Amino acid sequence: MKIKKVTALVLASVMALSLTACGGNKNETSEGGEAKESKGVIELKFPTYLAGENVGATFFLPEIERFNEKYEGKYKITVEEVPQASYADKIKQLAQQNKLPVLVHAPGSGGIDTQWFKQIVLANDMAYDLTEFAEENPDVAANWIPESREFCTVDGKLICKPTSVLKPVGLYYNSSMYTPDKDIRDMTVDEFVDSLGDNKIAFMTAENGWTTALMLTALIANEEGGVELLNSSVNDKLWDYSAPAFVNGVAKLQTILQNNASSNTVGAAYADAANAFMSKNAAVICNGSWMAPEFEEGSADKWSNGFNGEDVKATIYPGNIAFANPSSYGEFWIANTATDEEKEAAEAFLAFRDSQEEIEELVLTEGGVAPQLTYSDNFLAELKKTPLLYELSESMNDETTYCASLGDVFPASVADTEFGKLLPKLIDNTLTPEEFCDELTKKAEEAKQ
Amino acid sequence: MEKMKKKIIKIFMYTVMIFTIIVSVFPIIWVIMSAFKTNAQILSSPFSLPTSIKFDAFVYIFEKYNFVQYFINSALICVVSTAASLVIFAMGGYVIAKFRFPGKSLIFALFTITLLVPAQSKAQPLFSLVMKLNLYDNIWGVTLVYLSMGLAMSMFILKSTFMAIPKSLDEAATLDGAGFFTIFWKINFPLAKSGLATAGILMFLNNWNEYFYASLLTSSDKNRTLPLALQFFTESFSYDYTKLFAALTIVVLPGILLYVCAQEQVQASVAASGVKG
Amino acid sequence: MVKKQKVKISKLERRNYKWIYLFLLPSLLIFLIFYLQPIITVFYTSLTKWDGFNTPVFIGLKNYMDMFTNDAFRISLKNILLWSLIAGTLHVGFGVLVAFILYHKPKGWKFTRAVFMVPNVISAAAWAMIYRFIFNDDMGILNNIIRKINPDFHIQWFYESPYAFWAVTFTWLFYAVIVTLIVLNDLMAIPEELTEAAKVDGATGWQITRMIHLPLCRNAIGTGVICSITSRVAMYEQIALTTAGGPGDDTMNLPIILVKAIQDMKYGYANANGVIMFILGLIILAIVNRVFKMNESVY
Repeated sequence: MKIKKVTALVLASVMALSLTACGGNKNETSEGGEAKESKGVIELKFPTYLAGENVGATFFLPEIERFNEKYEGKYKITVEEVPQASYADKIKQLAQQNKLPVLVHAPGSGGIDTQWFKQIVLANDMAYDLTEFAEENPDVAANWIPESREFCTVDGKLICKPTSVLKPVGLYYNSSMYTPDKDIRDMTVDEFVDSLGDNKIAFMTAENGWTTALMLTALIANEEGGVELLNSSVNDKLWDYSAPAFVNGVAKLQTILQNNASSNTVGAAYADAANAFMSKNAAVICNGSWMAPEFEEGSADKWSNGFNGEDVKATIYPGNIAFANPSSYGEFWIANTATDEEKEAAEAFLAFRDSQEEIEELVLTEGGVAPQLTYSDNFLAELKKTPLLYELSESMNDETTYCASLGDVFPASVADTEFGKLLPKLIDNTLTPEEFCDELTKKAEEAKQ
Repeated sequence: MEKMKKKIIKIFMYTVMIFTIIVSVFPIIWVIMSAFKTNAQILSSPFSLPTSIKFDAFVYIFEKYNFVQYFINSALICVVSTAASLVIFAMGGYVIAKFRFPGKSLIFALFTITLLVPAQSKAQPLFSLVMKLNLYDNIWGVTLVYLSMGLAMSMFILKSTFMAIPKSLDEAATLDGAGFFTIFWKINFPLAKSGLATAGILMFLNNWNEYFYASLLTSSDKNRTLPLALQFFTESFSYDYTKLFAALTIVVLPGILLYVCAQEQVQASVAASGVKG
Repeated sequence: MVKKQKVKISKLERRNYKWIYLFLLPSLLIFLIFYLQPIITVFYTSLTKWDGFNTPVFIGLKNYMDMFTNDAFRISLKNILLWSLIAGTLHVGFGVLVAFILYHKPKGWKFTRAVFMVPNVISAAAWAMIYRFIFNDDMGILNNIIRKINPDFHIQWFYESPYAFWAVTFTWLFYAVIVTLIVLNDLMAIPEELTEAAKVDGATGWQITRMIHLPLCRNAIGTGVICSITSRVAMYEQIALTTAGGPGDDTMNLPIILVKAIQDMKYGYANANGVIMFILGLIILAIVNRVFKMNESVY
């Protein structure tokens, strides 16, 4: 077995090489060593995708640390980092084996789709009822958004922890290229398109077509009956795209795509759309509050072609529309299979996560609004330091219509791939708006059970 | 005339070789080069050489992640599974190549069709098997699954390798009183070196790059393999070309380095056997 | 495929049975444990409506009927046919060509062999991503080269209608190192004496290649064809990470449909696709076996 010997030798040498190259800064993680000896500590381990390089990690991992610090000697949470792409797969397989982790991300996040949650988890009573938890922690429950709480209540059981924070999605524009004569929010769609002139919008067709889907949502929402169509489809998803509001929206999108799309639109993935905006090849991009840090000085190395983050302004869509979906499954649920101790620890974490301080911290890091909360002065002072987030939250007034975005109402495979895949054919006129909607309906039909 | 022809053949041969080299490494060199450029440079001048060599992205990644651990895991899993499956498949391939026995065609056909089972359809049965064996989140669970992966391809390669070893050698050994096992282990196995190396390299590389099962069957940091760790970068640096290219570079380099080292050794050992090439 | 061969098996051979089956046992166990159950599950559930969790409900051939009336499926079949054809001819042909060139050990042959392997050292996923950048219109190397000649050139290779199919094809077309390795392995096993003897008989280099070497590595080429075509049928990352089957359904194939069906929790439908992939594979195997006479020894 010379080969084996040789391979082992080579491996050893490569390993030694990489050890010397990057040794030193590794803190040896000794697993399972310490915590177990101190009696009474309830340990919790669960996989999450809010880790590694995921945008969510910036807030979530420190939060876990703060929790462990606060409950030192009582509870200890360890998270296992799972790439977002495989999180849902893993959970589905674990559910099949009846080995779910104690805390699981709610459907609508981390690739866990609503359909699976209803059909498998709810139908087999795998989610722990949090009603009692809500009663025991009235101050926490008071922070929850009522619509979300209602949505999470199925057959009288509270099966997910509702959300306390809404993250409205608006748009950004570069004021050095495009200066609307009034706030975009107060325009009609036509006024908005006129005001753009030759300015481009950073669209995409690859991946899930995210930025394009947002614009289409705004166009549909501005049509007669559009908002109702979208908002009423959250629960059962939208399977038929032949409604006039939808078709008219697509028709307008086609015109915009043909006249005002950044040059790299066809085939653009999220990276390409973001780069079109940050290299002044597009004056407008539709995106959520999490993009705001990209326009701060610290991200200057991503800017090019004279782009300056200070020029970026945030606002919401024409017709005073912002996207937010309060009717959602919230953030986490607890598996019924967990032991009482584990449930206790998990509930402690959920209560901790929805305390005033943590919610404010979350909003400051990731943006959003917590409608049930009376913000502390400290928070308001901090918020002003992040002008874009402040602008965005200021741009919404009492008349703002909140509307679910297409991402919330498309069935999983339509949202993930089919929508983006059809867009090039809409752009090059292979498909008329009607045909586009027909094709999309067909794709949704295929996804149906 | 004859000289002319030789020359043309030579030119043709080198054209093909140069083409092969270009399509094989040029994309990778371009990616690595881009990892050292700024976003603006990548967008405006895709050909230019980087103006300065900065390792920021790499330093960041190495500081944050326990790459040594991932590397050891990957190496351990791949070496053990490849070595074990090589012996197992060599035994199978050997008897199929050299003997006649009832059920031979059927068995070979069964091995062949494993090539056709869609990877995604195996996920669920394999997951429950690993769960039952209590090997979830354990590198040996992954090793076990990898053991099965190269069945069809290795059988093909090894069968044809053993077929090429003259039967006269076996017969001579039988006359000398060597038993079945001795003939396999002392005569055929060493002579099949180049086939074993080919099958071994292919299986090792497959396992080395395998992502799907590794992600399904492990969950903690201490059991993570390289491809799994790398998935974090490719999915999340996505709006920053520089970091994305750096991530791709990191994804690609360990395999190439390992290959460059192992390649020399494997070839040397094949050549040293003195029978082939 | 299982040919009935009436061959007398000698007593001597029969004595070896114990050993033969012992040698086969580990491989058979691997087959039974890791492959048999999935195969059975795939076939059985392809006749059911199944969400992957609750009990499957038998629905007969409905999944298959749905499939055959589906546009994406028909396009997939067409694509797979074309890709298989390209894989079996151009792709394998290139691999064999390189193998024969390397066999003559021109200067730098070891280097070429090593370098040719590099794209295979990298995961298919990473390779697909690299190609997504190469074919990118803005910063991709290909269009920027073309624009040196024609400044107005803009094609999004992976996302525009007639080109997407060929862009996907290009990501694997020349990377035939597995074929090269397998064929080279067999070429090197050819006894020197055969070649020498032919030379003495006055055969030219081309004649030796055509009459002696090529037939002798028939098995290896057959293996190469099988591996290339089946990996075309099973090709997933190269598509999922580039075109995802688009634009429209232009670059769809069966694994993409299969994974999508799993996403939609239609495991029965997904597995019906799996069965079709399986059957396609069997047909390919049968054809290749017949063409290359793979069950017979070359010597």
